[in-house]
Amino acid sequence: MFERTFFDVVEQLSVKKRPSAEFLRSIARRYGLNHLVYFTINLPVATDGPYYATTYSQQWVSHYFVHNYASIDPALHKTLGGILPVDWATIDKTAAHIRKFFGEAMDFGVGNQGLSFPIRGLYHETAVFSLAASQSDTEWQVYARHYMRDFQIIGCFIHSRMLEALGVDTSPGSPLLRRELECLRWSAIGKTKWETGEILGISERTVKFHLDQARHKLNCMNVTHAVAKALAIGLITSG
Amino acid sequence: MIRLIQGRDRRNFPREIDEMFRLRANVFRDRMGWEVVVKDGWEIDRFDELDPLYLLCLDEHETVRGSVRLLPTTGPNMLNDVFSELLPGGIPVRSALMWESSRFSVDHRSLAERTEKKLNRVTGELLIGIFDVAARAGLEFIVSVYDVMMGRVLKRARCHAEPLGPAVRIGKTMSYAGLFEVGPEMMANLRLASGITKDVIEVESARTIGLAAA
Repeated sequence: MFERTFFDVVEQLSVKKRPSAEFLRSIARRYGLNHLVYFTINLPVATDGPYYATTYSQQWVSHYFVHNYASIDPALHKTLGGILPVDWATIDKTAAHIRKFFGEAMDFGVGNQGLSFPIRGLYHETAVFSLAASQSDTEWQVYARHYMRDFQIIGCFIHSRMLEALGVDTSPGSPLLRRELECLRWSAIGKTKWETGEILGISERTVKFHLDQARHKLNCMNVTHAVAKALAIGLITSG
Repeated sequence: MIRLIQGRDRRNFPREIDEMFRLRANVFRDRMGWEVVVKDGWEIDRFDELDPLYLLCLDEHETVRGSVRLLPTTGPNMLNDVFSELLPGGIPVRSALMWESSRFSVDHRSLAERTEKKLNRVTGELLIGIFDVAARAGLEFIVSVYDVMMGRVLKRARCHAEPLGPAVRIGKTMSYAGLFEVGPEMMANLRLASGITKDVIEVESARTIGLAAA
């Protein structure tokens, strides 16, 4: 799913800091996207109001705020309070002001396609992760379906980073279970999910689940990174 | 047909929502004898305040015949916050790729429509709806707490569950936390068991919410 250079970016992020535009840019490049934006408000700790990070040009951000587009942005409105990713292709653009909004977004290089993900946390906070691209409708349909899973994880990962940077515990009371450590250990020496399942006498499906749990608890974007992190912090050994 | 309704939009669907909460009271309090709180005829709990996604199964007269509630496991949900005894060590399970399904309910008329071999249509549509939405959202797993009776329904539906922890007696019956894998295999099994070959999700409600085409 991710290539080598990506891990460098992930490693840089091990330092507890808020997700930056630079980080979003690296993901956008990796996935061939024009732009990414992450936005959060109502966090469980006092902050200076909403926080956002974006790769959008300063001109588009100013334009958006000056025209108070947050009040009409249909992608944002569909996303808030929901749990499903919103595909911008489903947005009704017949109303003049909506057509104008998307037209201007195009002029500022946002792109003609996009997805917005609502992120649910433990603290009733609000967070949204959006991405935009320039693709034909047919390309986009295939692309969005293919990477939906990755984007779900990335959105959640960015949000966890944000909370960590603010000193909020992102996985209260969640030590790794024996099974999760075992799956990580076999993964570390190169066993496939199927092989690990055979060794442990559990189904491949359950191995997949344990590895996904470990990934989430270690706040990693994929299992390879989770293995590396578990080795680095001594949760498992490769011997 | 499955109509998707987000909790935050429930005021736009007063009739459907009213029928759903009444159906839940009928199923969980009256039929299954669960200790649920029913107020003004509605079985509604604190998880309904968290803007879940509801899947409502409507018949040809648009009457609600069944419903189910989905919540992301990255936020509060029933399994982690109420039924954690069903999980090993009581440790919560969370992932951006996993949602929880709860309050699966089917009205008694629909239950009676079950033929010898086939699953009743409402159960089939609800299950196909859950796994279709989950796949389109990029998910890998659904988790759910279910009892012995629901376990039998799932078996008939070829909806394979992997137990996550011990079976525990809750109320009158044994309950489990089950893991379900989202994917083509699950979908093929559900379609085979239910005989439903068409898409079940109402196109207009999916588009309104923003869900990409199947």
